[in-house]
Amino acid sequence: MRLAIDGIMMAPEETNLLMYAALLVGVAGVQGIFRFYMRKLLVGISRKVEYLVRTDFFSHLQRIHSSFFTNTRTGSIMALATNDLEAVRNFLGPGILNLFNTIFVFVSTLTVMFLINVRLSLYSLIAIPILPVLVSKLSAMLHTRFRASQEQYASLSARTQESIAGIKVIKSFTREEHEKEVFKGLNREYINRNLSLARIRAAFWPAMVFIGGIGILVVLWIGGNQVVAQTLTLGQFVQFSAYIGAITWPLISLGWVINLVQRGSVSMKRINKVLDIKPRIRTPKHPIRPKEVKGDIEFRHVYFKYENEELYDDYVQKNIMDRNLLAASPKNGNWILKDINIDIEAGTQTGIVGFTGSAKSSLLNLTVRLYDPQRGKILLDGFDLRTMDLDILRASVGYVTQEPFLFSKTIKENILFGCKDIDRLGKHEITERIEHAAKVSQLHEEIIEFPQDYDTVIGERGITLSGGQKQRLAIARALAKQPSVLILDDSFSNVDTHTEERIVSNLRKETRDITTIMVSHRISTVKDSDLILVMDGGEIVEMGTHEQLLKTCGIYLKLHQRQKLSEELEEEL
Amino acid sequence: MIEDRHEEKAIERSIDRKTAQKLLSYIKPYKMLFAFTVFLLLVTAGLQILGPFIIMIAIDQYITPGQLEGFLNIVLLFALVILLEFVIRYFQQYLTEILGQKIMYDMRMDIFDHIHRMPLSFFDRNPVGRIMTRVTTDVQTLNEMLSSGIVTLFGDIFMILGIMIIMLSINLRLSLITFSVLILLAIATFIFRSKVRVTFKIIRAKISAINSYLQEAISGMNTIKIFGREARSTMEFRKLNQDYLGAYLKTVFYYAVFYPIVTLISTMAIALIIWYGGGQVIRGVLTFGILVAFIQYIERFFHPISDLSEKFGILQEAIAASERIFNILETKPSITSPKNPVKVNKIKGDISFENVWFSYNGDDYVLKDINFKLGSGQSIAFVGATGSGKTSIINILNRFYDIQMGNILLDGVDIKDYALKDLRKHIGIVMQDVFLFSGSILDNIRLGDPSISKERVIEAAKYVNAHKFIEKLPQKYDQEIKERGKILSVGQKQLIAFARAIVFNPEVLLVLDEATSSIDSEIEALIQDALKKVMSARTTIIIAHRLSTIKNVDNIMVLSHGRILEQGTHSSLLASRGIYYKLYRYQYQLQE
Repeated sequence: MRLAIDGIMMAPEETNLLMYAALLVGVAGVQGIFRFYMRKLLVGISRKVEYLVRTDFFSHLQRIHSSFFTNTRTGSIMALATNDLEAVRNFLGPGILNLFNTIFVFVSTLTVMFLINVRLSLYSLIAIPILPVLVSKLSAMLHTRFRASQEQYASLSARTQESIAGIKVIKSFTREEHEKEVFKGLNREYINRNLSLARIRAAFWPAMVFIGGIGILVVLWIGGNQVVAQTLTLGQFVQFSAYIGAITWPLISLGWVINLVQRGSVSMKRINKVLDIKPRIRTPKHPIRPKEVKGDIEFRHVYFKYENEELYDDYVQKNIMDRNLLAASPKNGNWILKDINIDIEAGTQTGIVGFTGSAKSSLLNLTVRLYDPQRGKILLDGFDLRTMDLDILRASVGYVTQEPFLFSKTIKENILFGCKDIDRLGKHEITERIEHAAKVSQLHEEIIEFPQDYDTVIGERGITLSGGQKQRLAIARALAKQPSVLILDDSFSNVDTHTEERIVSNLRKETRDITTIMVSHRISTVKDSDLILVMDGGEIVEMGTHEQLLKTCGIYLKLHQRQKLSEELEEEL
Repeated sequence: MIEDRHEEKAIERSIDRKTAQKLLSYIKPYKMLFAFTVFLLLVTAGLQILGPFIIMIAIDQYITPGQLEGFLNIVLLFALVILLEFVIRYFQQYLTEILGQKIMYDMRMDIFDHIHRMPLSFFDRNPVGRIMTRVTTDVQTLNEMLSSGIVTLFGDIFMILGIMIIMLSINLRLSLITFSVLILLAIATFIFRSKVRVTFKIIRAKISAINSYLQEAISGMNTIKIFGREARSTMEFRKLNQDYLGAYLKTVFYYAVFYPIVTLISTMAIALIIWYGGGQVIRGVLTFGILVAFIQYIERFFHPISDLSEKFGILQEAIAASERIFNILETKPSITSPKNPVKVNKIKGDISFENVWFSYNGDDYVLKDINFKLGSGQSIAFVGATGSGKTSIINILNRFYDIQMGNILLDGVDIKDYALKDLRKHIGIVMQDVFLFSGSILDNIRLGDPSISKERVIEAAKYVNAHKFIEKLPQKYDQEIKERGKILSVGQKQLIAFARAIVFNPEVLLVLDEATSSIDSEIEALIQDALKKVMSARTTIIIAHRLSTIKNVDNIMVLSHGRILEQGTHSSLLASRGIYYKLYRYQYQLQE
């Protein structure tokens, strides 16, 4: 538009200049309004897309099975949600905005140019055909080099992470220098790859300026000659140079846009890799939705191991484990859990004891389908877990994990974390439920001492709480859910014996119709259970009541004696 | 991210002098490169200014008078200018990138090096993720500022100054008219900046809320699943996301207003020139070429200005990143080598603890008044319940942590008088939680030290019974170990750790040997045998678990709540029927 006006303005030399000047400003004003809306619209859209992708990404993450998270570092997922998403947004927003701008200016300018002088227009565009060739060639190279750089970045990050995680070994063997050397190599390679990328990228801008420059050159030479030969007016000549100049900036930004497109497409692929992961553990198509869960639990010939094939990390992916190697390893099948058979009746209490690493936690993880067993099945109230509605299953189980994860919210919010029915409850009922849960887990007295009692915000992962407080808060959180099945995985390890005894006795009163499964290192915690399982190396080696097990003279008896001694020792020290 | 929340508060982004100085110190080694890049920038700016000037001459001296003689020359000159501009601009861009990458490289090395000099307590306080961010993302952000920020800033300023000068030299009056519009631009920019600065602050707070929420959710994903919180978490996340969107759309508004205004102002300048200048051309006071040149200059004048506003956001992020980086670099390592360390060639391995008190924080002493002596080649075992302070003995001997009171002597010299490197070189550790790096078995045993030959590694592996299982791996010693060594069993990893200790052959060995299960009896026997071998002929402190090892040591210390309660040999302690006797029954009878 402005260019069209430029034309009218430039050609007649003696007419009212003021009018043209005013017209020019007026058109620029109109154009400004147009640009304002275009930018608002396009950038707004890109932001909204970013919003949608981020929300999608998040809700998809929550559906993906747990093993994905054990095999993928938090940092890599975060990188996708930050850096990569930003690249996609930049492509959608400024990228498309500039693309539109370029096309618009190009089309309108070329139209006017052809209207004035076809021959000169054709001549001046002589360099334009180089453009698509250049762009397609360079951008393919750009793409591969972008990827190479991203991959090296991932290796660099992975090595850094490893080096920090293994800092103790490095320090104790004084291998700092070596680490530095390795890092140096990766770092150097990274900048090399970046520079190889830069060699291409640096060409874009100058190339575009150059192409524009050739246009001006042609106009200057041919147009100049035509002016002298009087086949072109001076005004038209000036107009032409102005047009060519006007195309130059969009050309330059085209180079930039190509850059954004490449970056955006690489990043989108990376994001899609996660979005394309099919959640392995999910509700079946026609799920069983029991109205009430009683809490009968049965394990039938359950075999389980952690699977590793789904490694997402770029870095790890390159090094996907040799599966043959896994298969060739000596222990048959590498099962974490071997042929587990348990029958737990609703409303009973089951204790599980065993050494560290005997796969007690893995067993518990299966009962809420954080993982699915490879062989055998687990039944709740007679239904295979895999046929049940996942939400109902998980809502009916209160699971206190070994290292409970607390959120940086208020104590109240943490306790209510799993309560789905709070919207239906009155304020009074909610308070009652929270306090009840806290009282049972012996936490209430301490909470009311806090500056803002239940509204106190606990730090990241509950950093402001002591280990014992964290465990008790986690118990309260599980209880507030009012589950049919309560699972406690060594939940008293940081709680002193007396408090533990009180909580256990509270629980016994409270959980009379709740099926309780308790893993503990202390025999005293489990000795009154209806059923006690002793695990070793992924198998249940002893099973029975306290008295029965003592008579078996196996591991349980030894653990029991050890326990007694330790109590004596504790008194003596 | 959440860890930066407290840092985030301090960020009111005008770069302070200290940070600026430090940034400049990174450019310093590349003074020449930097100067050359700036020089090239100057040249490109000059060439860019030259273009319209040539066209002006072409119009005024050749085209208007219809003078074709020499016209070709001026056209060729123009061709030369654009070609030169192409070449020089390419090199300028590439050199800028080199500069940025080199600085980034240096900065990464510095941070990496620095964190490796930090004591362990630093790593207790700072989660791996946070440290990672400094080395990776933050440096990246900073690079963007250095390369596209500072250099373009210089370029833009040159450009603006150059154009102003040439405009003034061509026609003073016309220039002043053009510049008068600049005041409007200055006002617009000022308003824009103040608006955007505020919203940027809000945006940064919002995005950091999103990221910390995300990070927390990923770390606590199992908990979310167990508590069926997916729907509600999505809702909460969506809310945060929406807030962010809203805040951003506000800046989009400002940007959307600002850009057209810049264009409008530049058009006004052109309009003014046309109105005033056009009149002068008609009156013959001004040549046509000058008018054209002015119009082109105005175009080139306003681009850098709107360019600068675009960089505003990047700049803000980069300053925040650089402050975080320098924060880490400024944290002085609290455990360092002394200025004049004792020279060591050979160490005998005499160790003595004299009234040693140690706490991880404050008055909460985990070791209280520890005294013992250990002659060269002797072995000592510490036993006690969990939390009795056993592990701390190891942590303080090689100065992972420093003690608060008392002395620890190695060969009669205080360990603080040795260079850290020498001290740790002579004290080996075998940890129970064996950390394996991704890399080959070979490199895991010799920890990447090329001066240790493969033969020596194999010899060591044979000695500690690791050779057999390594030979069974498809690639044997060159077998790649994946992250955290998932392909090896716990027991196999321990044997690797023993091989490490043998290969590095320290005079003093610390062995952390605590209870593990899931080691089958076959490999257990191999480990016990290996342990016996590594203990022979060197001073050994062992945090003991295995009965067989304890029986073989020269002295046993019974530790409780940070104090030594009993000491003696296995049999003498058993005979005295004290705590050791009970502890022994408690801890070890399961093994028999």
